[in-house]
Amino acid sequence: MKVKKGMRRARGDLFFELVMGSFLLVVALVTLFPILFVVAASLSSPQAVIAGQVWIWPVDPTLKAYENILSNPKLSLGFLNSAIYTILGTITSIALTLMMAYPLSKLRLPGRKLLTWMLVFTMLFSGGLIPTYMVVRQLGLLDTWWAVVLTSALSPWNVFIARTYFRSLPDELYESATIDGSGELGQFFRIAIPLSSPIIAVVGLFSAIAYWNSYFTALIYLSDEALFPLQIVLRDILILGNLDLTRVFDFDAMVRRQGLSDLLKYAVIVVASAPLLVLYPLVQKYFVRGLLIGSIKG
Amino acid sequence: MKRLPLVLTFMVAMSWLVFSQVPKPEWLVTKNLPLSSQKTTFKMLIQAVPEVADFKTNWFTTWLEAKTNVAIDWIVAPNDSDAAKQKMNLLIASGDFPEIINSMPFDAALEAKYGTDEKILLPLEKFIDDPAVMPNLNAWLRKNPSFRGQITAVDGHIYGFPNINVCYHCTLQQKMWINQDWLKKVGLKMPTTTDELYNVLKAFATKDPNGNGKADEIPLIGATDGWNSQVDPFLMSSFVLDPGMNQKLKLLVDTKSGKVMSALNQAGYKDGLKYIAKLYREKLYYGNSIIQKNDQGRQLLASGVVGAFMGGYPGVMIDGADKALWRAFVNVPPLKSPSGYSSTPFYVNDGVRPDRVLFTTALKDPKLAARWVDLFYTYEMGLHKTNGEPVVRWHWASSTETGLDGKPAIWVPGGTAKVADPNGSWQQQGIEFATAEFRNGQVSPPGVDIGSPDSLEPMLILASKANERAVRTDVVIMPNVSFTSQESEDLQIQRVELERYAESQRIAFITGATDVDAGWAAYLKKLGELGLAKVTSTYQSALDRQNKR
Repeated sequence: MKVKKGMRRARGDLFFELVMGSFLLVVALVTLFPILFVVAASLSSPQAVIAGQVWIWPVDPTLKAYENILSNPKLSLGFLNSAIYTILGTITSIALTLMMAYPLSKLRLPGRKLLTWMLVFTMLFSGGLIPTYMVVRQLGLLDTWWAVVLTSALSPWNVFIARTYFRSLPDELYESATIDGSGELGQFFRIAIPLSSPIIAVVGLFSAIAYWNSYFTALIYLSDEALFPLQIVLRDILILGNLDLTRVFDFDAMVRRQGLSDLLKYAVIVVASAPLLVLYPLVQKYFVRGLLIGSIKG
Repeated sequence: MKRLPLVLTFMVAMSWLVFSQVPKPEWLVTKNLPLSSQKTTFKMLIQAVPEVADFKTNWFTTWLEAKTNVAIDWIVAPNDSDAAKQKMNLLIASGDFPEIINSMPFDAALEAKYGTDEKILLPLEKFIDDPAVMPNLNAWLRKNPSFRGQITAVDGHIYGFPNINVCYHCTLQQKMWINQDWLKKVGLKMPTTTDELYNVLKAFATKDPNGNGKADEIPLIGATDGWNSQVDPFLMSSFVLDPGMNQKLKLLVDTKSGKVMSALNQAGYKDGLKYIAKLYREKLYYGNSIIQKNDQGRQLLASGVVGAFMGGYPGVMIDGADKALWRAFVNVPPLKSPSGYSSTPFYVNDGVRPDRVLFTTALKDPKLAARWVDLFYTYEMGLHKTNGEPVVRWHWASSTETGLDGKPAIWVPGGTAKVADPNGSWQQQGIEFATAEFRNGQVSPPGVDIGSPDSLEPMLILASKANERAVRTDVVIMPNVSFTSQESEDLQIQRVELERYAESQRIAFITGATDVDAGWAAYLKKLGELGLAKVTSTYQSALDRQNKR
């Protein structure tokens, strides 16, 4: 009897797994298709793309679009700038987040509630666009890398995840360190940091994504074209094809732009998303763990 | 051997004597340069374009600075118009003004806000009207006085210097393109009337002109968002003048009485709707045209099943790289309806756009800036600005060369440079001074192959000349007028409902959801209820005001 029951349950599991598996497969295909299409389209001739012959395999393969991007000074400079903002910003962001989250995780920190409340406050209210702009201007940050890096360096959300994570580390560890003669700084660098690679990965990935995709801060704080990140250049190229009809008074520009847009559209998307697509699998194993520990034990 | 260089020099000198045409003095920057003995810097806001790598290090910027002794401190806004406007508003709101605003997406509403209301834009009349300060612009405005009203704000001031790019074929931009190979296959001539067009489309649909044995032909397509690629306006103009897709209220002016009216409630509009509905009913007019995007149209064209399409130029729907397809499509001159009526809108005002360059109150030396701006209203400056370094990228035409319009040419594109320089000029940014004379003065190489995509401009000029015959004198499209802020506020409210109703009814009539004859009376009544008369009278008073100026 027992065996039969067990087998029936196994069969039920098998059925469930089959259904689940095929459902997830469909979801995966639906998710993958646009990516594959964009990659294939970026490698195909523009004519084939326009004619709708491209499916998930390149038609008349050509690297012309990528050659064009490499030789386009705006795009290559934008790529470089975005890389700088992302690396610099991510390092700054991790450092600031850990430095804020670690003390907040200590229940004996005086004024802990006030600090937490101040953080929450910024999640709900902001100073508004123009006052913030004026602060940035008066700090002399306009038209510098720091305008992009510093204005979004600390995310309260990340601080809270990191704080919860630190709290999950057993107090006994710190106690034993104190007994062995370690001070607060020693505890932070020798115990907390080495144990927090998952949360560093989470905070790092979150901020790297945010910096790589940053558009608005660059839009308002940067006026020097040599500092524009990839997202601004990318957007400029993607909207080329969508002409504002009330403004078609420069016919030559319209003709030229249609061609440029047809040629570059897809390759630019690939170039702009590739770095994050490459980065994600590398940190993914930490990602799930860190996010889980950081969020559940609140 | 030693003599060879000498001989070469002599030959070069001779060839210059024979072939070069000395540019006429009025084409040149005649003012005393540099503009100022001591170096001056202007803080200028400009909208970026992808074709220009960096304004700061641009060849033209360097050249201009060396010539004029005026430097520019750039503030660059993105190419996306909404983002650029946001940036401009932020700069102004925070008090951190640029001195000069150049090539930004400015419109009448922004002009009224920053000029009339907040007074942070400088009125420019005293510079424009002084030939000592702005000789070139002054001369052009005296030659073309009709444009003065168009660049003047409602409060009587001029806040922006105009951009002048008179593209002749763009003044006749309502065009239809038909597959001439298919015409030959079905043994029919180019249609000249709406009935002939009906027969041609019918033949396209039934006689398998693409020869693949399948009835996959789509006789006529259009799209919602391309340049003049909506299907209806061209067809409608055979019954009543249709100002095109951007003018949803279809406003017209009767030239004899000067009265503003709308085509929406005229008998011709009703006949036009009936004709278009007939094409739709018999599937001669691709139904998806009323919802599809231009890119979908391009896809259909590329697959070789389309007989005719609408578009301001063939490139709207055809990729120039597909030379055979490009060659197949030719312009259809405006058609006559059974009553003998035919028309095509003439966009006389489109070449001149206000508010290309504006001065703000932060500007320390407006007179110098005005003299600087005036330099751009010469062909020489325009050629440097748009094309780049002379000889390398362009040169003046020789006296033996002819322009696109058959008159002596002015300039020749191309030069010693083999590759394009992404930072060699400002391209279309900055003030353009491309008058009709200038655009048609581009050299036309002898023996031009009119069917090739490379001969786009000569082909469009020919097509437009054919279409120009249908331009009517008794009725014209509503010219651009400026409104007071009260008027534009009222219009905004009144127009929304009216435009939405007119659009949805047009679709309903065409698709047969409402029968034209049966629904016409109710349609007219509803237009009246929504205040069509009120809107036309607002336009009337704005027009009268502008004409008085």
